[in-house]
Amino acid sequence: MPYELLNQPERPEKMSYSTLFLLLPTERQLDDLIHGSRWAADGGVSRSLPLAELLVSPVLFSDVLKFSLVAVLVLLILGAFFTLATNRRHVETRRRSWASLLVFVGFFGVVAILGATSFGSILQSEVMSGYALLAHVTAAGAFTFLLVAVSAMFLPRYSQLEEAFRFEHRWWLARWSAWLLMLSSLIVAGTMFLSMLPVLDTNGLRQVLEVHRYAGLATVISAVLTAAAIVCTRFGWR
Amino acid sequence: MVRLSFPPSQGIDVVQKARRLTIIGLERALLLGVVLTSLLSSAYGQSRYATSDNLSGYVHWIELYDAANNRIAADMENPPPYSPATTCGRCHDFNTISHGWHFNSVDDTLHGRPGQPWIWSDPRTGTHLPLSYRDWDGTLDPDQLGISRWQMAAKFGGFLPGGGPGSTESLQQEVAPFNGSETIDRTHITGALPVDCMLCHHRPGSGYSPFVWTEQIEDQNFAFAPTAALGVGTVSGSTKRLKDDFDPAAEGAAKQLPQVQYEGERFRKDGKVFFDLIRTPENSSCYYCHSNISSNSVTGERWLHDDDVHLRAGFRCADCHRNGLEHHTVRGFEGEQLPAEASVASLSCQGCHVGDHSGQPLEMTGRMGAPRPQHKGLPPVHFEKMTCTACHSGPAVSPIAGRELNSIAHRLGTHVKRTGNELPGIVAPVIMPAAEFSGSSDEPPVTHQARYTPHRLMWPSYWGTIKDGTVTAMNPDQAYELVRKDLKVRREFTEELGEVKLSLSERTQLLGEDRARAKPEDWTAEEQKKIADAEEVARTSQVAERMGLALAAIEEAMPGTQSIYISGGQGFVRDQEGIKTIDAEELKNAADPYAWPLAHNVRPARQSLGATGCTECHSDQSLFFNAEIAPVGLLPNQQTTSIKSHVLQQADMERLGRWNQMFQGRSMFKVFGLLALAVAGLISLVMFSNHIGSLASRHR
Repeated sequence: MPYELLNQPERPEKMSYSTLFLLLPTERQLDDLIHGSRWAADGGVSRSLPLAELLVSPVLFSDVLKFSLVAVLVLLILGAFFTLATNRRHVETRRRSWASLLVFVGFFGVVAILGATSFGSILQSEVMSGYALLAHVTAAGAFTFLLVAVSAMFLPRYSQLEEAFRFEHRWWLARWSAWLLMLSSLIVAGTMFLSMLPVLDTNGLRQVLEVHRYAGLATVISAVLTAAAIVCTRFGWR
Repeated sequence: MVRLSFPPSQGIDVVQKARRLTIIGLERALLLGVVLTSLLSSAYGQSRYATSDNLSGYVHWIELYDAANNRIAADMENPPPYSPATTCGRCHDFNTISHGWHFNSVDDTLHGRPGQPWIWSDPRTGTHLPLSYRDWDGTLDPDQLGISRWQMAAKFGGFLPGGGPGSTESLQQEVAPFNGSETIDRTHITGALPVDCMLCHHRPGSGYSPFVWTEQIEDQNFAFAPTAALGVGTVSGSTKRLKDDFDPAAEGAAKQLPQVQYEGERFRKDGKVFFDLIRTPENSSCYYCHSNISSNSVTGERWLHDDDVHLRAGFRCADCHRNGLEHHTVRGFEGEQLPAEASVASLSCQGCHVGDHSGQPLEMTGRMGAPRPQHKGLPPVHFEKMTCTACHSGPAVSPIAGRELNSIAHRLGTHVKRTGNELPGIVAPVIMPAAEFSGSSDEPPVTHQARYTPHRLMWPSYWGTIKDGTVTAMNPDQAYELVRKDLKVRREFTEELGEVKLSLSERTQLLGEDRARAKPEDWTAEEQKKIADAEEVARTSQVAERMGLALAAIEEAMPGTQSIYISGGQGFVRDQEGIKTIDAEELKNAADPYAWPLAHNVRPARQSLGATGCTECHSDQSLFFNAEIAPVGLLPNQQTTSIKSHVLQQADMERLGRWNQMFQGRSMFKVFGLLALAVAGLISLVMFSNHIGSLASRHR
């Protein structure tokens, strides 16, 4: 065998392409995450997908989290300036019923609790445990059932609404942030239930947990944007 | 790795050099040998000895040599015992081997994860002290107690493969006497405790007897133990019977020493003897010193117990607890590192069954076909909070942690009738966060610390003194000398201290003259109760009186201190009425139990904790958090307080209680939650389709 071949670094393990959107960590990467990154240290990083590396590192997730939260905050501030500066008045949207208001407030409240308990813990100590975990799990139950109610808010009600208020005529940010919120919420809740069933093994559960935390981040961000869009449309700024 | 070996001639030169030096003096030769071996071994990372390297093993027809390196013949007059150091050491790196894990307990640098202590038991004084030279929090250092290295070798050598505290190097260590009392050291009579390779490497059924080894050590026939155990000769006599001032070099002294008579038929015509040995020790060899059995095993229920699943699958202990030439036997806990910094990750539960995939031989997972556990639906957070053994190892958790016996502490192997309640009282399993690692050589990653791990646990009992609020344990022999007269105990502390017999006049007072003389079995239930009550009062009074006197004797011998007896997590001191109980909280750590992690027997997956569902642990009555642990008190009628395992775990039971509520109706939650999710998904899908359709129609 040629010398070069003998000294080839170890062949990287086949990525689990079939499982989760190409980007999820492999079994080996998860092992490294848990048992220390000896494999990564000996040159494994360069042979893996960069985003997968990003996903397996809890340190990186907390960095992603910090960056995302700051970005959203900056975006909101800039958006507020832009909105007020352009001062384009629109017709104020019709107020929803008290029931829908209650559902939305409840849903956003639960999302806030879930975000605070999970991301707060991660930012503070990298792991979620104790009362934070307890609160998170409790709120997760409410989140699932509120999700049904929130999705019902999107039901087509052409007969009841004026043409101007039809969903597809709303401000683009209101529409697409709502869709993102629904999609990410479904993924968050889906991954939660999936992990409660005796279906996935430990690696599968860890992969699902990765999806769960990124979907959770997407949910929080989209919830913030949706709330901002609702405020803007309510007051007729957009 | 570069492997170098000496040509045979060079190896012989070294041996010949050592032989020539015997005329200068055996000690100097040994010293040179040690230096040479160390230099050569460290320089080349390999033994200087030739090896056969054939997987079929080597048939050991070999000559016997005595400690002075002289060949032994069967027909010698007054033949000496054979020495494993010179006999086995001709072809094996004895010096390197004899510093491995089983021999290096006196070494300062190797501590490792806390393990089973040597429990110094003196049944006469109710003393059961967990001792270790290693830096294991909760154990006491024998040197600090003035227990000589020789005493340790004599006490525990029967369950040691030799060396350790009884090695020549160790016996040279000066141990300061405890409070002016003399240390007991009979090294000048017995010599050092030899390492006996055959204790581990004998083939079961070959005739080698570890029981004989123990008997010989108990007779203090240190040097004769390997010969007797091997069965190559019979040993008569006992060094134990010789007085402390016996001089082996004195005229005629040799006749008083034990004598060896070799079995002539064991020697071939060329003087060689067959050693029926194996490279990898068999389980029975390990079990001789490492048997742990539940107390009911000795009362007829042994047949109900299964073996470790690995052994049932055909494994040997040494398949995981393996070692190289240096005999640093792998203990198998996560984060363990051998002194040479080699990682042995794949020889722990997680390392072998989950592990990683690096190319390092001792880090590769799936050894010997180890299946990868699925743990379907079990949240991975469990692996951060618990070790594998928490669910899979040891006796299943029970409402009250059961009593256990083990080889060394309870001298299993000696033929006696046991009840299962023999002291020291060791209980298991006690699931609590693993004790933190000690020492620098194998400090584990932070993530491996303080996970729930099943433990064995014992409460120390000993006599001590209090000065400035600090309890100091006394040397057990000195304590015996001071308290024996007042305790009036000859053999067994608890039994004899509480032994009362009412006099005839006392019985007459209670039952009347006629009935007092009747046989106890003829008494009515009422009469028996009267007698029992009276005996109880007498017992309490007797215990208080004798203990008070014994404690006073200690205080008299050690002015300026308050004496104390500690047992079952409580302390007992003298007061005007006899003795007074002090709770553990007031004693700082002095009465705390010592616990060490257990890993065997590994139970089948279907018998693991949680196999029947989450609520096995996540319920208010779960045994994981609520198993009772009853301290073993040694004073007659001592009232100890059982503690729940969550106290030792320092668990937040309020939070756990709320957490447990989450598991009520969990199945229904899953059903309704999945339904809700499906409805939400369906609505969203329909709405999104409408939205896209509407947008498309607008663009058209």
